[in-house]
Amino acid sequence: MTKLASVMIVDDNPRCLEFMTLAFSAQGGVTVAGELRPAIALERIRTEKPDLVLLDVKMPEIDGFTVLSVLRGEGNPVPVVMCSGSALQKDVDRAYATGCSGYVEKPATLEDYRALAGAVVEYWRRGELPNH
Amino acid sequence: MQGSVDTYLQMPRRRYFSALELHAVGVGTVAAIVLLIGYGFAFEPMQTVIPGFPPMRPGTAFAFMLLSLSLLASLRPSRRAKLLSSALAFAAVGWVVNLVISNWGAEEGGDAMGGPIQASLAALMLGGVAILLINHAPRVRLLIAGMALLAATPALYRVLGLLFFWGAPPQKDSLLSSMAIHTAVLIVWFMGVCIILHPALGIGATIQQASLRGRLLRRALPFIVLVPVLAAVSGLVLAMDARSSLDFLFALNATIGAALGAGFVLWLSQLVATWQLEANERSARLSRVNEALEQYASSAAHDLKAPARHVLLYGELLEEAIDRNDLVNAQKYARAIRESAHEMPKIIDGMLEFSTSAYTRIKPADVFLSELVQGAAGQLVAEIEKAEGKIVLLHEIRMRCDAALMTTVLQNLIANSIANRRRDRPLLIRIDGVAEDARWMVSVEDNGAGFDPAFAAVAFNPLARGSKRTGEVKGIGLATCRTIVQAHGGEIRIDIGMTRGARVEFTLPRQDTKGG
Repeated sequence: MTKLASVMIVDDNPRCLEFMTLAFSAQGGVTVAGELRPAIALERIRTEKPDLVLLDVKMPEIDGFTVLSVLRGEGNPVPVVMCSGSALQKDVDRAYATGCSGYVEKPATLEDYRALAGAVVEYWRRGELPNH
Repeated sequence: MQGSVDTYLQMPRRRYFSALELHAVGVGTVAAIVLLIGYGFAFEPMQTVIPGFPPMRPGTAFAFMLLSLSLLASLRPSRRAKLLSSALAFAAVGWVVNLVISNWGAEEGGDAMGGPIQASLAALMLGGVAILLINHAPRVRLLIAGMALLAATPALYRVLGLLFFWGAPPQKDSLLSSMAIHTAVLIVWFMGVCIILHPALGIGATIQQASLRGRLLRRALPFIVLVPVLAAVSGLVLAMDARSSLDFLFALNATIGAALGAGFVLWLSQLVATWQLEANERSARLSRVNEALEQYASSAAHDLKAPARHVLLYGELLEEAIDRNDLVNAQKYARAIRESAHEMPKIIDGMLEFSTSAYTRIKPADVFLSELVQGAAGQLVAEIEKAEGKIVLLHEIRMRCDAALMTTVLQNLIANSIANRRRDRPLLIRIDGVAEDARWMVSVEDNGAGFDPAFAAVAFNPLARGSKRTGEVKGIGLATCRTIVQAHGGEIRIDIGMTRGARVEFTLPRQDTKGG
């Protein structure tokens, strides 16, 4: 059994980042790191090697798909869960084709945020998410 | 099966209407001059035009005057004018019948000089019947056009014979041999122009259309005229030479027909190729615009959802903080709510700017309004058919704009009118173009449910939707229209003074174009 130790949340919107951070921090035993700038996030993922990356899809300069494909291009197997404000089917398909581990629409209630973070951590504890 | 867009489209005809009135007056005036001066003052040159040619008979001139007046009345829209027209046409037919009867009497007496010859009488009779049919059964337009051609063709043959062969070969037994040159010209003029181009038949309107069909018919016209003219001339030339055989005449005419036919097909293929190029260009442009729109819609959804979601989430956090009596955090969350709400107008402005940028690369060209209407209505044939609607273009103008984008504007406006029609009456969309000194103005007016004044104020905002008229139409249609019109440097507005239906008008500036 693997314990989820660190999560890196990448979102250009500080509010989204705040909610996600709050939700994951509330799970206990999880180190949460947040990054607003995708280019810096890429560097941090390479060096800090988080156990899980939560990646926003729509970001200026470099979008989530690009970040993901750069990671996969480098052979980085870190599990990546994509988060987006709107789950358009073509975006979901593209994300899985690029190599994400999951795709979630950003929740609209605190309860859903907690449920999302809880589910991710729970799955992790059961070893259902791949580790690198 | 889906009908052609022409079924629902009525193109402007006023200019050509008045021109047709002038033609009718022209025919009547010539006949009146022959009757009044030629016979009233016994001025022989008026009777024969060219010395030695057969004269126009007074009975023929009188019948032409009746027909001319009848046609003038038939061009008026009122019911009374139509009845007057029919009465005059009926009188003309009656007069011709009377002439036929008196002709018989005269023939027995051996002098047919007083009455017109049979070919003229038949043509005049056909003219009267054609006007009666135009007034009461315009649906049989092919029959009417056929009658006009039937009457005009022998007269055309006579005109060519007299003009090119100075009196034509004398054939005593021919039905045409005593037809006057001006009688023949008047028959061709009246039948070929006044009857065939009569607006009730729609043939003239179709020929004038800026559509592919119109262009095609215009290209066909010279050939349609040239084939019988060349055939008649060759026939007349060979008829003068007694040795030439009928076989040779046939072979010659077949060669002329085949050569002109081949030329026509070649010319036509060039037209279709040009049209295809234009259509491809337009469709590529439209799909680029659609792509931008799709991107815009997706971006709008994504960007606007975020602050709305944040307000909800911070609201929940605020509630929880208050429950805990945690005033420090409560204040923080309340501020976050205010800031999130504050972001929304900024996002909307940004989206508007984005959508505008999709249209900034306009490709101006000189286009006819009818072409744009045709294109827009063509995209909506099924809907117009379902709505039993009719689109009328009141005035034609030529303006400088991006044809694909302006077609999108008209398409959006027509679609709005269709969606907001009233179920208790057939939909009528009236489109008008006015060329002013500094700008072109185009209006689209319908007899539908009209705009709610409250909605009219925000109708052009891309996010104003659902509250409009019947609520079926998404506001993005009008927002798109405004974006495109603004990209052309123009303005669009809803006429709020309009109470019976809706009226949207937009202007485009006339820069350094001659247009109009």
